[in-house]
Amino acid sequence: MTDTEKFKSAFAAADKFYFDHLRSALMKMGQAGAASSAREHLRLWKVSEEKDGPDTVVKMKLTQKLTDYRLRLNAFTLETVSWYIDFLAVEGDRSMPEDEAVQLAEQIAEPPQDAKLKESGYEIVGGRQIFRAVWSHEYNNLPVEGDFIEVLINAKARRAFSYARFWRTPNLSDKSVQR
Amino acid sequence: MNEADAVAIAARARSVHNVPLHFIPVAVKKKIIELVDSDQASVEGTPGPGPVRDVVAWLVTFGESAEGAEFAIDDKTGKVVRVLRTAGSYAVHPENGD
Repeated sequence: MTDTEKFKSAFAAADKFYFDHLRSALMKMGQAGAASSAREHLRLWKVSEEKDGPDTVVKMKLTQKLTDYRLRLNAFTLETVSWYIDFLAVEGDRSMPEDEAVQLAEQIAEPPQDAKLKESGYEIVGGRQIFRAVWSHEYNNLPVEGDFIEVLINAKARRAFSYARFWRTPNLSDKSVQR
Repeated sequence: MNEADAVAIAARARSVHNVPLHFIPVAVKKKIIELVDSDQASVEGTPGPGPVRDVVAWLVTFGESAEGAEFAIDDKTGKVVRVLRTAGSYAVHPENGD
């Protein structure tokens, strides 16, 4: 069995070779911590794979993790509940006019017709300058407890970095449902 | 049911749920709330996961300074369907509920 056949692909073999080599080099440099966490921070992407006689030449690109991206999904409906991108949250300012920030937040939130913009504006959270827009839910003119949509924006980057949506169509029948 | 009916039902329920009788109503709101169907008989505490339904309820809050309890009264049936207590709440004296 060739080395390539031991793996699912030539890329898998090349990936293992690279990280084994990197770990070995880091250990020799006395960087055991970095060696053990290399795969958490670095990732190889396949650029191309070409046959060269009995060998396969794999060209790869090394990328470094920039940030954590957190995504929560509703296990029943698979709808997005929330997402958060930390690196987009830093170094914000108040450079965006508030009405433009609300428009941007609306594009992300896509508030339903029974949503009501409850609050919007700049604030400082954890030392970070952010713009927050929050919608509440009213159904038949009654507030729906627990329902809201929240979008956080970095005005300097003109980007949203956080989104959360807890929204339901009230089930006012006597029959219970999974949600 | 109107607001006065809901306050009266909640006031009567104070002793059953060990809420001091000298606590007075400080807020009343009508909302749609979610209830979890469970075998749990108590309307207090955090229910486990399970199927849910929504009810229109009157939320009547009794309190004194930072302490309090919120009773949810089902607008259709008049039953107490949930009791929430504020964190760091009052000490309950089981002998007299006060």
